[in-house]
Amino acid sequence: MNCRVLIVDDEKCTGCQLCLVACAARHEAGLNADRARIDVCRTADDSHAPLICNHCEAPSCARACPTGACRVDPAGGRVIIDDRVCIGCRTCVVACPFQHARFDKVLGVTVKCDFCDGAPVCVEACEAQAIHYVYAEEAGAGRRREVGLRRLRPSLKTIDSREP
Amino acid sequence: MQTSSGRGETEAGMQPSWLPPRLLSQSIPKPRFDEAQRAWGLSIAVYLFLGGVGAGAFAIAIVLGWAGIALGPLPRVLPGGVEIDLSALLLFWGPLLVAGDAALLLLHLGRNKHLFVTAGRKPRTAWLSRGFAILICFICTGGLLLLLAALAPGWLSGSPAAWRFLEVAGLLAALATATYTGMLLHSMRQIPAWHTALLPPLFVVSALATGALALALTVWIAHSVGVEAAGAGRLLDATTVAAVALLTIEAVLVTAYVRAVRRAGRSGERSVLLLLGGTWRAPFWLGVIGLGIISPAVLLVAAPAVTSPAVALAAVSGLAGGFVLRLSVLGIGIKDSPPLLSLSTWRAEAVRWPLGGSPGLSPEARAQ
Repeated sequence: MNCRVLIVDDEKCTGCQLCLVACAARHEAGLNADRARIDVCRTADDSHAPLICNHCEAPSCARACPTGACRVDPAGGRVIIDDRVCIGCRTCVVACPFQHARFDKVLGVTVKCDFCDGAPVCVEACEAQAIHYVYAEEAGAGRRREVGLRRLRPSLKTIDSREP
Repeated sequence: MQTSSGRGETEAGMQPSWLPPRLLSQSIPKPRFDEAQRAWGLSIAVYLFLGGVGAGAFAIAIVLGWAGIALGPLPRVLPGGVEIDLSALLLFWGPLLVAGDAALLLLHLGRNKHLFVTAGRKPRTAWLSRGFAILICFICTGGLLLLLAALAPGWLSGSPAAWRFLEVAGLLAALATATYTGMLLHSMRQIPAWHTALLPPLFVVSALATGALALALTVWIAHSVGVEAAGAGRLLDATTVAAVALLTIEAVLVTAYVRAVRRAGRSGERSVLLLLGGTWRAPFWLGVIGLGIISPAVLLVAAPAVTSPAVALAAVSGLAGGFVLRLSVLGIGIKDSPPLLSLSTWRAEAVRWPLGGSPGLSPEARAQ
């Protein structure tokens, strides 16, 4: 499915965390960056990179969700969490291999990046233009996901992973 | 470190001055990919432990009953004039514990308003949904058996087929509950310490062992407070023998489990390091091995009589060890995360890889 995805150029990321502030503000969490739905991390070589949900095609989080709150949106290919149905069991948090979903204590449900319903504010907020909202095929993101999911299969243990 | 391009030429690592002070002072953490998960902790450990103990005790009581080992009738009259058989309560309290345990789980949930409407929606893929159905089955069948055995023992003795049906249904539901506690963790494919075939059998055996110990403790307490039931000594004898046998199997399974996790890739190795020599070494060696297996087995074998305090001490020790086992397994859950490659590396690699080729880094990329 050639849906749109967020792609991060970690060489451009300055670690300013504006994307976190914009994300938190967009999702009614004020300026509390801890409640943003994306994360900024420091990499092994001390550069920075936002961590954003990959919106997998066969998401572990949706598979493990007991209520069906976490599911793939058939319209846009996004993985979304319906907060009206979520019971806050945190199964999706445990199930996500990329550690993207997070439990929001204030709301009592799990939250994750939802591409801001098609207009991600982190892209607008990023002064360094490190975040791009592009079609998956253009960015090779389909393949990236595929590799990530293959990693979960025991038969493919050849994937290298860098030390953090 | 590179200088960024874009609208505002911002030096790498510098943050705009208008950001809230709290955010400015916040240091950016490294990714937590090599840390154990923290979403499931103490409350889930309690949930898995009490579920296992309740199911195990019920299953052991049923099986011992089939072997002719049970308590004699203990008729008592409640304040409302209701006559009950106390021996049924002493034997079949498992469903009550599991019901209380399920209620405790509500505290873990962020929202439980829609729980009963939504929790069982996806039994095809989610073990939490299956567990919801399994727990309800066990609470209903086991609870019905307990109610009838306590309030209408005469009706049951007159209908052996109905009694046997309830026993078999209750036993199957109890075993399913014990298995579910292991399968819930086993279903998390990205955590090698959980996604091993040995975890469900380990949890089932531990559930039966702690159940046997809890049953022995119940009968011992009843005996020590003066509730004398016919067959109490024989029941204590049988439960202690069963507990020692199950603890021996558990010791073998724990060893096999650790070896299996160690062989399950890099995250599995790190989990075992955490368990044997890292953060979880004290709980594992003192709690799981010492309190959970060695101490109860030795005490039960060395106890001069089944009514001696050593039996109660062994039961408490074994129960504590069973709880620490669940907590430790949850605590070493490190995810087998996919590699996070930078975009530039990814672009370079994506060009080099033939379709279906190895997705590992090329020698050039590794050298960079």
